[in-house]
Amino acid sequence: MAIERVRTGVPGLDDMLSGGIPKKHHTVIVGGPGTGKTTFALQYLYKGVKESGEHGVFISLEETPDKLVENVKAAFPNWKDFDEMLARKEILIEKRQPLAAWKTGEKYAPGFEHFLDMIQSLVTIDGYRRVVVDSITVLKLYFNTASEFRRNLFQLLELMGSLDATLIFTAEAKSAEREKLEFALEHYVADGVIVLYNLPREEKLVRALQVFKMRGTQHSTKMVPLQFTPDGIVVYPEEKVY
Amino acid sequence: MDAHSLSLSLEKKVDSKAVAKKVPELKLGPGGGFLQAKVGKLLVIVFSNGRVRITLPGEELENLQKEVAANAIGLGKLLEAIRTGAGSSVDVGKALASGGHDLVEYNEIKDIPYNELRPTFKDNVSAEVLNAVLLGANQILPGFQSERFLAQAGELIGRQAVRDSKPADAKALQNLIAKVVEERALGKMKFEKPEAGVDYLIVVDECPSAGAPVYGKALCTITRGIIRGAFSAFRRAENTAVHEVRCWGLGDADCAFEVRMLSV
Repeated sequence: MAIERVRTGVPGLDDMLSGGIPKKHHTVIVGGPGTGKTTFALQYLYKGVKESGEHGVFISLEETPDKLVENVKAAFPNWKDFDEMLARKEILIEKRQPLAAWKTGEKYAPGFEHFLDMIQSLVTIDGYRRVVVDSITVLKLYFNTASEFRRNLFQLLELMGSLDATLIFTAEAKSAEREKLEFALEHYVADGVIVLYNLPREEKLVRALQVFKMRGTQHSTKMVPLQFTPDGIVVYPEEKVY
Repeated sequence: MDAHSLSLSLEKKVDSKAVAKKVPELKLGPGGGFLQAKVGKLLVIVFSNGRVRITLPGEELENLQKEVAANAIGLGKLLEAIRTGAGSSVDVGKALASGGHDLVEYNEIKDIPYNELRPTFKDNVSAEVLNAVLLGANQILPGFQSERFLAQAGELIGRQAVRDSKPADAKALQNLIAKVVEERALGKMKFEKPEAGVDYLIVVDECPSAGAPVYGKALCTITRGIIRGAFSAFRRAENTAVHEVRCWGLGDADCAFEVRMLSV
């Protein structure tokens, strides 16, 4: 049976992914500072509305919606209909706390339950089909132990697996360079891992992308050039990174 | 696991009506599903399946244990009277001294017991049907997924109620939520003064989980969903967090929900 796929909205990338990300799979976009993770995720939502008619929600754990919108409009000036999409709530950008603390005895214990409530409602009640969480690295900071984070991450991913939506989450890498890339739990548990680089070449940095993993998909693992254009991010799967 | 009470088992079923005649301190609890008596500030609850729960309403285990120690003589006399009235041979002093619990693993729920004193809720909702729905969800859906399913059920009810009734203000919303919960035989709800940092404290008596064993988990997920759904629909915002902080499943004698509108 053919796997239903969701187009990423990044020209060139869907060719590398045999048509797109498998529906309801969760993919992590990993990259160092300035590699374009957040903008990639916003393009996933923007093109989702424009090309697939699918509404999307961006849940930011750190940056404010105003800042995100300002940055993406500066990066992609040809997205003239972006504001309208926001006004019509075809794209929803929200900044949220992932945890609420509940009193247990004299202490406050953090609870992840409401984050799951919120995502569940956004998909089932409000009908958003594309979900972005930016970033899983910030989410990790809210938990006291690695095992607590792991348990809650699995709950989130299990919930997303049962909802009619496709999740992308971003994750910070310590470095933008390939040689210094390290993997963490979120990379192992995700169905897909797409890495963004800023590679030093002579006196400048060259952007690149590589698909490390995409379950259920025959995908290219080649490192390919990536460019920011006024229309959005474009990937060149036939080119080499120089 | 979390538990807000101590409990022991008389290791036999209790004829509630017969015991109530022999132990005059015992009265029918709210909703009629069990017997209860007070010893100082402690509440002692006797279920017809032979479980006895000791709780300090609104408080957690540490304060409960202090109160038990302070009322040891009175509590011991009552428990002995209950044991004799029920015809049990359990050493209640020993059971209590061991700080025991008859905690049941949530993943192994086979039955949420209801009893002959309350075969239905509010005379029209079959406890057996409700039992089957709650357990069916837990048995089919793995892990925490059954809670997601039940929360969703509640959300749909809460949101629809707000869409239909269009409450004009917060007070009207509170009255609507209480009405929705009571009309669906999910309990009697009242809004009480919350602590600092909490926007609403909602206390529910006679909820479907009344009489449940101590599972170490809150059980009233549908009600939680109704509250959250109603608040979210009224405010048109998803940053409403609702948490069940007291529940029969946690060893309390009522259920309570804290509601917070989260900042960003």
